[in-house]
Amino acid sequence: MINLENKVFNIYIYIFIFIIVLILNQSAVAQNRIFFNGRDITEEIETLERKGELLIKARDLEEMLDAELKWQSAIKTLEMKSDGVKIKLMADSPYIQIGNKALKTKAGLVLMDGSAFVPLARSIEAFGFLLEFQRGKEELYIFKPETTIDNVCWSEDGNQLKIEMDEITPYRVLKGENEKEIIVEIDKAEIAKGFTDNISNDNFYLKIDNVPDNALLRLTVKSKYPIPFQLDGGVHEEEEGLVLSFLPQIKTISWSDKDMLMVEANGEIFKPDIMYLEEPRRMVIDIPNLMLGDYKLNLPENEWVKDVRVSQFKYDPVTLRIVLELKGEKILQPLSREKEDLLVFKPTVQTEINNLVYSGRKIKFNSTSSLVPDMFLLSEPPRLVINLFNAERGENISDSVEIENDSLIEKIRTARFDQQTVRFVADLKELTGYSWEEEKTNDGYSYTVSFKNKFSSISSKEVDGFQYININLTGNAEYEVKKFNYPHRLVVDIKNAVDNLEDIELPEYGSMIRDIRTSRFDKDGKEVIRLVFELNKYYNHEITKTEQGRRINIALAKDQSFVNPTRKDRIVVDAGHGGFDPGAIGKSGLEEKEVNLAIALHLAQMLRDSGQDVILTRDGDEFISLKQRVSKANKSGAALFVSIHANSFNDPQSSGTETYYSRAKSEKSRKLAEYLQQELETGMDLLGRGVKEENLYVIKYTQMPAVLVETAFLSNPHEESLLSEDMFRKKAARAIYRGIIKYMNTISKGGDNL
Amino acid sequence: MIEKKYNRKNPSKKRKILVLLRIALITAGVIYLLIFLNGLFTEKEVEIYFSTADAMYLQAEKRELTGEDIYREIAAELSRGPDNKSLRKTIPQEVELIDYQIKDGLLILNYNRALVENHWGGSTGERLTVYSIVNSYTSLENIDQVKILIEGKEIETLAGHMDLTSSFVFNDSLVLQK
Repeated sequence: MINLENKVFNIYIYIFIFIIVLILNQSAVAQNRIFFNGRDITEEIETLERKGELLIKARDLEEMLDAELKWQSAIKTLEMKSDGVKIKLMADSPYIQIGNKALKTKAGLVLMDGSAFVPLARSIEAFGFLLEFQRGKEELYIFKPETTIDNVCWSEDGNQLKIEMDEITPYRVLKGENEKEIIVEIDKAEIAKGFTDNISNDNFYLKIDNVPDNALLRLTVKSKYPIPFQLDGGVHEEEEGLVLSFLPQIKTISWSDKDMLMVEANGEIFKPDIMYLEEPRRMVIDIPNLMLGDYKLNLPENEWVKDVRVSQFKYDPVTLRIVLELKGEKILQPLSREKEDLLVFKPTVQTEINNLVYSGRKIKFNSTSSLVPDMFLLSEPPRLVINLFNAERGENISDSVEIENDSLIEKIRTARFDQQTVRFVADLKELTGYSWEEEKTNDGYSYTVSFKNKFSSISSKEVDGFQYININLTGNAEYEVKKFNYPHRLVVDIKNAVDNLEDIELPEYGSMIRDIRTSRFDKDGKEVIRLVFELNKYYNHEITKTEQGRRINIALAKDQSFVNPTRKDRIVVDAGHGGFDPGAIGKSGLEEKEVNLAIALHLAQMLRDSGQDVILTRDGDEFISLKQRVSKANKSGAALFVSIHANSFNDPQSSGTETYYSRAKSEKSRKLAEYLQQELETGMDLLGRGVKEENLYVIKYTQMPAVLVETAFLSNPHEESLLSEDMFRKKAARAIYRGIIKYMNTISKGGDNL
Repeated sequence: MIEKKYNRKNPSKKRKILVLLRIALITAGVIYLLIFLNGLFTEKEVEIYFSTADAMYLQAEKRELTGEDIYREIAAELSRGPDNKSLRKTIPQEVELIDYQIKDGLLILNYNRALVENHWGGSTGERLTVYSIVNSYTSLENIDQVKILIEGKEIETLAGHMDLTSSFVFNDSLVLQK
């Protein structure tokens, strides 16, 4: 009995030990993971490493691929056949024979414990599989290609390059070594068996590489000329595959029978910048967004142009430069445009400027032909610059006109700015508004620049608890707003302005204003225009101004509850992340904080240019907590809050643009989000992911309507490369800008019952 | 082999003690097995939420858990990722659930710093991570709300967008409606 029991127990013990050993063994095998068609097969196959190469047991590979394996022990040769492909390996040889080609491996065929092991990567690639290592070399993915590239060709007009493929897998378009090369990388792709190269010709050359260990196909297109491709907006997805669109190229430059110079392109020509240079005398025409290509030059002997040179002056932004070498003192001027793909220049004569005088706060001069003066104010020191094109100074114009005892101007300097441009600079005692007038005279034209502000508009609207009065002037104003009682009235005194209120439309009085009138008086030797708003009632008011005083905004409270009015024109632009918090990081290392800031700065500029007051939560690379961002926005009393971000996810294919609002806020936030999302989707050519609702920190706790924009996915390689381009960042900023303006217009019209 | 020799040489008292020892060991093994089997019978089916590949929605996968420590098991399943190839994992590498507390239907999850430090970012990325956790746990009958702490402390945000000072309830709008 005891003996029998003993034997039974012994068996128990052995089984017990065996199980323990089995469990321990299993937990010990956990190094490289191998995935086959997405399935983890690490446990199902035997592998080993030799000479830095990963080998797989031939029998396991046979099973994986459902292949046919033959082992000839006499000559120690292994053959494997699958899907019409045959590979052959011999013991003690590093070579692997695929069809009739031999490829050298590091380890070759290894025999161990009666089993044959073959190099995994080379063998499986031979059978048409792709390999990709991830997380350093920890994970190896083996899969069949997901897409086949059937054809690469030019579109009929030669402005597009088409890559026809079964399915669009993740891809990126990259700049090559120089401008004559572009690279398209397509993940998990293979080349079709009957693929023929329809790209290469006299000017272009296509090279296709399989990038080992990364499972991608790299198409490199090289050209004799710079390739007119712009990363931003240059690539589109179509049903048949990818389409790369090229910028227009210059096609012809010719001198016509009618003595005109014609510049023609195969697409739109933008407004050029023109300047004249000396020695040799030449006219330089810089055309944005135009590329150099094979162009025809037809320049017969003529009296004006000696020679024409064309070059790709810049690539970022793309600019084509045409240099016309002129004969003698000849000059050309651009004609107004009739066709968008054609620029025409016509010989012209210079106009002569004469009789420059200053009197009664006005600068006057004459010209032999009509001009459009280009005028602008500069500060530090304050001065007004007047540029006159295709002009020269007449004999009676000296370099400097000194003005004594004037409250406004110190002197006027004149100079030849370049060969064709005369520049006047009026040195001012303070920045002052101006306006100009043209008058036809017997022998030409007379111009008058007046240093006086004019009212350009006065408007009023009632929103919520306030009546807003906006006074716009033609130039910077020195002004004062005062409140008088018995009866209640608000007085705006503006120095150095013209009373042209008869010429402009006065606003509706609304509930607060009873009358608007003006008067004029002198104060400390200066003329003052007084604008008086007679009020029905008065509780409180606040004055805000923007654009260096060109605009005076007054908010009149309509009842007692008035404390701190919302600034209708103030917008908080919040660039996400910053400082030690980089936000999302793209595969090639682009950090979200940098992208967000660049877009935010572009947006701020656009908003400021249109007269809005912008508050940036950060204008540099610094960390600001979400709480600090909210507190800054709430203290500003701004009307809107827009946070700018770039998106990310755990999958490189996720893509597109989306806008968030918070349900914790008013309906206005949703409306704002809808306007922005609509502009982003139409303006950026990306997948529209729509408007989303989420209580994100900054849009939940800010008191004004607020949205958070996720422009594009940094985790998507193609969108990352777009986000690295300044042109694309500007495009995103412009879309957001348009959305804000549309929203504000709707709100100010009281639309949508908001 | 060694034991056989031992048996032959010592056929007396010592053998009896050994036999008793073996009986004790086997009994322990059987009891352990019974407990284990019992565990199998009480196993629980839960829904674990993962992201769709386009990062638009969450979709649940059913998992059978032992029910021994269902909260840690859910955390492990979230980290392990989806079986369905069209779904994506939402939990970054090296994330560990340190501990948790339950108070009146509020589950407080205390994760290690990897949840913040290894996160890929983006409003979308952050939202899917937070709600895959929240939706998985709030699918349990006794959990209504989830709050996430990092190393025992309340945090302002996980990746710079969501407000983690609040607790979260099940998000229905993010779940893919079939």
